[in-house]
Amino acid sequence: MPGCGSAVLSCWSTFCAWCSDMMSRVRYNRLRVLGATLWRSLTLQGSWSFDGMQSLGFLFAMLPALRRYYQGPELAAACRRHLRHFNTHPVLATLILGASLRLEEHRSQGDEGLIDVVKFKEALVGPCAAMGDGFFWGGLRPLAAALGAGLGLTGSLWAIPVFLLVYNLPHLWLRVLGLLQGYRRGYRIVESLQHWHLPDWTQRLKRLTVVLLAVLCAWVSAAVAPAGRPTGAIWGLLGLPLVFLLVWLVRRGISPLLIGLAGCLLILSGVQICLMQGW
Amino acid sequence: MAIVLARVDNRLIHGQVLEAWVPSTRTECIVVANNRVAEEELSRLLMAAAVPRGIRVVIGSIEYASAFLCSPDGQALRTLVLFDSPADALRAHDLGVPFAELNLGNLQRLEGKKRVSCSVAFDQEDIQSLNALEAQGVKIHIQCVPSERQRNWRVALASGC
Amino acid sequence: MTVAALLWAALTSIFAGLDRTALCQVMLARPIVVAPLLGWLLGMPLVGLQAGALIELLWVGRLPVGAAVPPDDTQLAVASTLLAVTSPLGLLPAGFEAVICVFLVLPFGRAGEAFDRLARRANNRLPQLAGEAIEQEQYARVKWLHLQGMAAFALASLATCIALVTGGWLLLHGLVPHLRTVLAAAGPWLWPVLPVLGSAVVLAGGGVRHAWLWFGGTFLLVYVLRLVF
Repeated sequence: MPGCGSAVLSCWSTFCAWCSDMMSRVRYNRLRVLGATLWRSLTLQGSWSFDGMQSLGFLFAMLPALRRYYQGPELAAACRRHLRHFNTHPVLATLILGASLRLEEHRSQGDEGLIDVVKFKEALVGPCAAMGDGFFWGGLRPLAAALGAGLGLTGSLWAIPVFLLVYNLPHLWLRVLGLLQGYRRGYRIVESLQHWHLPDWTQRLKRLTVVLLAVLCAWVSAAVAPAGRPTGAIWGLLGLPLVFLLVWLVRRGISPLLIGLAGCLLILSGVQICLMQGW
Repeated sequence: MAIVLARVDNRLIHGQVLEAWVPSTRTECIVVANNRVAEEELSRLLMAAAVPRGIRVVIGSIEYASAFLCSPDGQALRTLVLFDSPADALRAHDLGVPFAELNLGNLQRLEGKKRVSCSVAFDQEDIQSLNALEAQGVKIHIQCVPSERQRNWRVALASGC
Repeated sequence: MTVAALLWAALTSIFAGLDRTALCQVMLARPIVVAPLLGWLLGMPLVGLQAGALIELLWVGRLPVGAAVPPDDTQLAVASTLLAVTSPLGLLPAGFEAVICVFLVLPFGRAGEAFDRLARRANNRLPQLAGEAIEQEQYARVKWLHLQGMAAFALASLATCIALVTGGWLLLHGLVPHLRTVLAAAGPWLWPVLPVLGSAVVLAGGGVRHAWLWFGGTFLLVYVLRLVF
């Protein structure tokens, strides 16, 4: 038996050596560059400014790759290409980063490709911003927030992990997927973007959020309604017209902050009057 | 109802438009009037992909978009029109596109412009086009999203950022 | 308010402020996370949870789209939690500390906008400096410039937090002692304002066809089910 064990061990060590050899020859450099880019893409908005917006952040994320592809004046020219005005959604930006990496890699090997990288980026920023803003800020985050904060109101600390997981699982997955797909497919990333149907998912998430908020408001109204008396619970139904009244006020362009503070003052003075009358 | 919003925005279709303006104006159709984008298939595909199902998207040159907006087809829908620059808006207005108000959202690409608000900067050509539009009775104001306060463009130009 | 509590709040404010725009954006900056976190650091996680949930719901429908800067709910959460946890015993009605402190800092909500704009404007010079660094082939400098941008955001967060805490503290000690009886009686009526208002903002934002039908239908269904069972 010890002989068999040592044979397995030697097989395993040969396999490991072969693997690491392959990794270092083919994949290692690329993986390292992709990893560095992914890591740096987390700071895309670190130096956000009104003039360049995410320009410096984009260059910062591209820098490890560019330094690998180019040297000397070519490197400076490549850096200038990526220091231009840039602004898109911070998560879907990894998709543009991945595709730009691929295009720059080809260019450094002398293959100019079908499309100039600067033009390609310009074409992608707007639509990516639109899809990302809609999906993440308009769909996913409100949904996660309604779930998490709803749980939070019941006093459960589960609110925090639920909120973080509901938001971050799709978020981190799309971040990594975007970079890898972008790098694999180059300018053909446009097709993937069409296939994901993010705007349609946004619509579904928004509808779900509205339903969740309705559950929450019903729960809040029931909690506020005077308990004990049989007719007391009916008063809670007033919550619904109240919400629609507030919708009307917000649609008129009155700031929610102002409405909230006015509501607070209204309640305080109402209670003060009740106290003075001795009710 | 024909045109519910005419907007100058150098980013054309993006988050502010889709998330803020489309719901608040209950838009049924988005028209992008831009010669550059009309020629680039990639941009056209991407822009159309960013709009949810149920909203019609028309992307074309200024002439094409103007013709669509003046057609009965375009008149029947609540339409949001996007231009890249004030000069394009002026051309479309000259071609008969009926809008009485022009919204300035984002105008920030080129170097060497005079900045008048955080997202809007003018050069001499922009100011001439806006003057011409105003002379034809179009009201012009700066407003990024509906929840923001409207600013008259002349006041903004005089006071700066 | 002890020095340790202030330090914890300052640290939380900076870390959360960075996550908000500059770093990661894994939503550690959202009120529902940052407020219970600070509450836990100060020994009262449930007070923080309440403040965080309420602020989160008030701005559940607000979007940071494009160049439009929304109010800094992160620092509102930090400031209201700090005030609620460290308020002198008996000053605020028990069980309603968080709600009242949220309302105390709300009037200063716009302060964050000013500091945030300042940071973004201060960063305007960075891309240009980076361009010069590239001409001189000093690529390590690009990284430093990028880090400077983050420092500006961190400072803006801290400044916002300080402004909010100062404003809230003045109201807490100037106004609240005169309103003790009213606040104690009004406590159970104050907190529902925020979730209801936040839901109304989402509905008013549109984007969902027949939203009022979905909302009204679900509301009635849940309410009736709750009455029956």
